[in-house]
Amino acid sequence: MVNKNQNTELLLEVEDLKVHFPLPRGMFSGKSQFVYAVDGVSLSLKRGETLGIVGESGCGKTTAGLAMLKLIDATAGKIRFNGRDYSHNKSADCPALRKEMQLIFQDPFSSLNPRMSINRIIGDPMEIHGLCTKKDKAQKVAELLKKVGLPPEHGKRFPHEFSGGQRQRIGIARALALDPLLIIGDEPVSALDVSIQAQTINLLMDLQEELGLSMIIISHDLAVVEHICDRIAVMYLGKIVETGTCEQIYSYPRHPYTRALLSSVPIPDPRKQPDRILLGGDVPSPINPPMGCHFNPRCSQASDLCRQAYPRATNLGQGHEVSCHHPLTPLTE
Amino acid sequence: MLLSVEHLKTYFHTPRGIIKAVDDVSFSLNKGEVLGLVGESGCGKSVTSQSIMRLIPEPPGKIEEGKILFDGKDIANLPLKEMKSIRGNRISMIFQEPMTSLNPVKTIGWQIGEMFRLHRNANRKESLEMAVEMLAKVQIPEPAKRVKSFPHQLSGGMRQRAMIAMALSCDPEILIADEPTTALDVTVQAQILDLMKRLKQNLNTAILMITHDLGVIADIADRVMVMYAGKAVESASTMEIFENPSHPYTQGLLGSVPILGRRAGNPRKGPRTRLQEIQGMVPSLSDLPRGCFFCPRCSQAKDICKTRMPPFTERDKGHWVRCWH
Repeated sequence: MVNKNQNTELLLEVEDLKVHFPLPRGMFSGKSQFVYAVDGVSLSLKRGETLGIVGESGCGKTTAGLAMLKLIDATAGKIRFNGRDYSHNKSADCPALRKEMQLIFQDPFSSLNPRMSINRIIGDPMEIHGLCTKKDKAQKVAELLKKVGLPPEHGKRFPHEFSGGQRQRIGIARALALDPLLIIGDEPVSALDVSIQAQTINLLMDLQEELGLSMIIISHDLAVVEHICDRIAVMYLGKIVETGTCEQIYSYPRHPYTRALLSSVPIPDPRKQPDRILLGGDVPSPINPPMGCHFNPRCSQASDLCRQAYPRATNLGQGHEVSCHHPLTPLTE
Repeated sequence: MLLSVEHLKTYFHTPRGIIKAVDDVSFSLNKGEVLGLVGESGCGKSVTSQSIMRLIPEPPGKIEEGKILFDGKDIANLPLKEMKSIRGNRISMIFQEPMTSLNPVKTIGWQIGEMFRLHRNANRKESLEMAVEMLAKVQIPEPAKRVKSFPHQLSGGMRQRAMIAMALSCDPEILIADEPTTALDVTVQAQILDLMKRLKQNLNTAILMITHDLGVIADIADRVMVMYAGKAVESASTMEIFENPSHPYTQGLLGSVPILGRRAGNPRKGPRTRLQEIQGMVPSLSDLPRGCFFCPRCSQAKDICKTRMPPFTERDKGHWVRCWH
């Protein structure tokens, strides 16, 4: 069992990451327009830590994850992984990185190649990276299948022969195959039924404990993230608005959006229904984010300053950071 | 009692055999009440609601047996022509994906107005005015402007509000909501649930809320029915279901949902708590086990469970369970 506290060196450091997608210009439009999907995201991950990135549709969390993995090219910003600076590498030039960073996809039905057997899906990457030979591929795959709770003899089968939950386990096995330093899960349980979600969440937690994995879990589901993760970063319209430990974020949220988000989460207990903070309006488009703080049009305490200038991250101590001109006072101390 | 479903059986006749999507389900709905139908994929909750609305395609589906008593009349056998005057008018429905259930080539004003033209004999001008009124009721900003929008010009939350406006136009006695907030962001979901609660209060509409989300149930439902593989397995008031779940499946479901705040609330020393797991998977409806359908996954299964399906019996007042224990 790996002692998580042994090595507290930073595994991943992301500084001011930006991913702007240019929109195709129409015939009559003048200026180019961009989708400001990720607009200045900074975060860090310690070895053995699990970080959750939460936010609603369009906040940029998936794009940020893909940019960190160098699966898409960032427009700007620094990415430092395992002591090396990868900021200027094009995504095609990072084969060594692929071994150390792996991804678990959201949709178990479209993330496995339907024409490849499980042996190939999990085994080929191992062979390519020299972690096994053609001969012992099947055996290594069997070991991994066992690790994720699937019958080890099912390597010869094809994806369509498995259920959604089982396919997600295959996806997890594939992510583990190269013994990576970092695993990013992009909504890893969202597409699963409730009871299968629980199995998969438990599996991820067991593996994390057993292998000392460093993980980033991207999700819109705060309850899932709070359950699995050590720390949480809350995203809104391309920016991180608050970061902290689960306890800090849950018990002492300082950003109005975080507080509204927490109050909106349905609680499966009729005795514990929270007072809901209802946000007016909808999330604005990342093509035309509001001036100043992106949250200001929906914020009940927005001031003129909020409409003019984007708030810098304020360090509240003990790793708790918030980007707000008027951070809320903690509800309890 | 507004609606009484009695021993409903809706089967699908496929080349692979008969799929018993809904197999002997009974429940009732009173005026102004919210009944939650809860279950995972394939449990039959959507087919139940579609059976009530007579939207089951025949063939391959068919309401084989049972009664659906609405206001004293059995609508399970009503000729479809007569059903048309009930659908949208007295029993309305909203769906999960508003983008696919709204007509993309008609404005929302036209679509909401259609309700008034069909059921209230309104002319074009009147129906448009009423559509604007409905949009205001569901709190869409600038309703007079928005009435001319097409569905693709609205956000997910707004489309769902438009669908609710359409469903409530003719003041139906029952609103069937099939996973109305599943496809929405959580802050938008909170807005929509709040809207539904207020509309229910003002209009006294009974709601049949179909969802897999126990949090939504805890928020809005007065009573709950839990379904599994086509059967009703437990039914009780919301408080009772959460405080005193009797069926092992219900207990398993409640234990397997991560609850926000449960971890953070307690100082965490040592390993994280694991979620309670229900072993195995939901059986395929074409390959159901003998005896109780939940038996293969049940931690409390005994011999009788393997061979005989338990009856749905009333344990306590209003609390029904389908279990031998």
